[in-house]
Amino acid sequence: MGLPRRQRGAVAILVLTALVLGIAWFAVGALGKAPVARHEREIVTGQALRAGKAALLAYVAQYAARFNTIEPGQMPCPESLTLANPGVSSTSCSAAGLNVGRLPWKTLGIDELRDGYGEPLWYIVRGFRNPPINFATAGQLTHNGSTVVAMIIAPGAPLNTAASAGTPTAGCSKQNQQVTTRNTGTLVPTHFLECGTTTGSITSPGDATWTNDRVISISAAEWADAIAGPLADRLQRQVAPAMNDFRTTTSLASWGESFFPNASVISSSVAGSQPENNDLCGDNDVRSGMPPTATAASGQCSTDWAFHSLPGLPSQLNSGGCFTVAGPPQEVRCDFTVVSDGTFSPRINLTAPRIGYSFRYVETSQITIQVDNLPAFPPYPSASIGNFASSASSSNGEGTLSFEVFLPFLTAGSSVRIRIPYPADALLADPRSEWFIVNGWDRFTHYGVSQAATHDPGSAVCNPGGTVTDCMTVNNMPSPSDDKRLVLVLMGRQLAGTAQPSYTLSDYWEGQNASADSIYEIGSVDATFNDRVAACPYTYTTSAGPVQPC
Amino acid sequence: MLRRRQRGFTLAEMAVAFLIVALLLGGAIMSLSAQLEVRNREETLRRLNSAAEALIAHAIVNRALPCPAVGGSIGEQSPAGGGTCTIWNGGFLPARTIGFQPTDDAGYGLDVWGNRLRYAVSGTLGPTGCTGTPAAPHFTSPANLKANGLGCRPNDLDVCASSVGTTASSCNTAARVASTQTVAFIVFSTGKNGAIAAAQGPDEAENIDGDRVFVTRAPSDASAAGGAYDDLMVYVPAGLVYSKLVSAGVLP
Repeated sequence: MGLPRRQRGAVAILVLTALVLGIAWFAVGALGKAPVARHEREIVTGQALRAGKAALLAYVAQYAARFNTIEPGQMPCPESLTLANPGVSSTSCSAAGLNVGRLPWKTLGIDELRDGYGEPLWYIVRGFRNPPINFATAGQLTHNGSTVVAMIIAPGAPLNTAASAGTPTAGCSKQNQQVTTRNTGTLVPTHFLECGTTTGSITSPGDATWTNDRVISISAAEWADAIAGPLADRLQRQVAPAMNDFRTTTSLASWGESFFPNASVISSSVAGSQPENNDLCGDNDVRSGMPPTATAASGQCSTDWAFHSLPGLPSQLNSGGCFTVAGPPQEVRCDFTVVSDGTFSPRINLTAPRIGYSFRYVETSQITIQVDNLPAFPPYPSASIGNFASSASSSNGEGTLSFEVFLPFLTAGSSVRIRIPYPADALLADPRSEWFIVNGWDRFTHYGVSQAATHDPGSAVCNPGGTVTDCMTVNNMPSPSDDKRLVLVLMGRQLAGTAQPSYTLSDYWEGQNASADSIYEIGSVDATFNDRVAACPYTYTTSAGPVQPC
Repeated sequence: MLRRRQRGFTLAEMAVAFLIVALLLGGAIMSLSAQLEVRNREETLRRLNSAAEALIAHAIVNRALPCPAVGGSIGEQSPAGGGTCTIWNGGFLPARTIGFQPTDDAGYGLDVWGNRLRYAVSGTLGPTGCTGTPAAPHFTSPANLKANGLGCRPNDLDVCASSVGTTASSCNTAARVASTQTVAFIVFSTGKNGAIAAAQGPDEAENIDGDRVFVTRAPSDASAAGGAYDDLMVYVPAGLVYSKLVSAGVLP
């Protein structure tokens, strides 16, 4: 009996060995097929959401920095729901309405992001599409009660709550996402997302009966921080040069003088002069404040032709004088009737207020001469204008323009009409600075000019490269830092502890930038300082040598 | 005699036992091998992401992205001071320059299979975004990166879903996985078959031909369109590079 028992024992060892190996085999196989633990899925989801947010903000920032975009800060459209171009931002989405779709990962320049359940991320945005877009633009979505600019959503596994008991929480509804046509045809957002995707008020309490979405949002503060640097880049490379070109070229051509217009005062003694409400019209002897960038269309800082005369008008010409036409286009018209045959060259004088306080100019090529009922075209053949004289008063900034109209031989009874457009907005006409005006970024910018560069320089001297006695200084700017004629300081988003609207500069700008003097500063952006400074003159140094944008 | 014979196993028993053991071991080894492969790819992807972070960290400290390393540059960027790169698209990760580990004895960054990690960086700017005429190169020159500004967009690296239909300069008719004028740099591994030229399909060959066009897609065996593919790639948009540099105060 002993021997047979030993034999059975040996077989038992063999069977046990096989069993152990079998279990090992099963365990190893199961390792690869084991359902991924929920927390692992959540980790993947969290990583994807954070990567999506970083990429989206980076894209928005780079878009804001591009010099040919009129709407810096614009958020991209989501991918089209039609799946016509997966991963690519739709070229047409609502300007003001709710835009829901998948995250346009190809447009952002990243790999496709999926949540822990393998679902592509979704993206919701409302507004932030068309000008004006600026720091005052409020988020138009709501995430768990907070106002946000955009949201990136991980859909999670498809839910079926159609037959669930109870009443869905506010904003949610019973729905079945487990439909076979989920990923075909035109995507239906509610087949992926729950609770508020059609209203823009998203509630994501975490795992709950009615939703398993995971949401990461972009607040207005995060959006503002992302685009502030690129905006400052454009201030230095586009706006400051455009303003400087007004000084060196446009103002000289229009008004016979090179000048930066005065700044608009911010003072508690001037009601409504806070940055939010400022009239953006330069004030006498003010060289540090808000930029004088009110547009003619705004009705602020009128530079409409206020006085016009026809000195030395020959008796062969009859005129009822010049008169203002409300427009559009707004203009001055001077009509003449020829009393007896001859050639004539009447002179027209015009004056406009506040020229020294605004970026307005006259484009003399737009002055037209119309004879009889012939169509106007500048100039009428053999008729022309010339002998210009212009000025900007150093005392009150008033601009004058005077020119002669050289008419051809005209017979008695002929009639002539001269049309002179109102002074126009130079910065609006310049594509480098148009974005700055149309989006209202001027309300977020401190403007400083040296007296020497205004229409009223007095004895002040600011000659970069030479005597810089009366130039402005920007501390921490690459040398030379004390030769600035123009300084622009973009405020960041509102810092903690400040109150706005306010007449106090330090509620908007920090350090040296919060005083109305000629000293400014560049600092590291942190919780207590978020100004960004641009100035003229300024020089970049490339590998090929220096480049001076202004 | 009978007792001694009874202590052993019959030939049939042994055969059955060995067969079972062989089957079980085979299955286990195959399963373990697949697991190992998954882990190798995950580890390589982790190294690629780590390399991308190290490249951006280098840019923050040195105010420009490094150039690729070339054969003989012992894992340093080429030229040593950066600027106008010796090659833009066909080089290796400059592991020594950016402080990446692990490396081989020559100083080049490695994937988990011991193949050198590759790196391509943009050397050409696009027609829109910059103001005026930007100085070149952009991303690898501290002075030019600062002087040209944040609006400049890369205009060379093109990442496609397939090599079919590509040209030497663009995805052309092949689908793109990243929009044009987006990608600032690429880091990639040639995968497990990286050292075996004969095993590489057309899509993998596209990544090492030295031109500006790259392919990234899901892995496949040789029977797939585009051939065998096991490369792993991380590409980084210019916007992310800029945003890191702005956050660090390097730009604007």
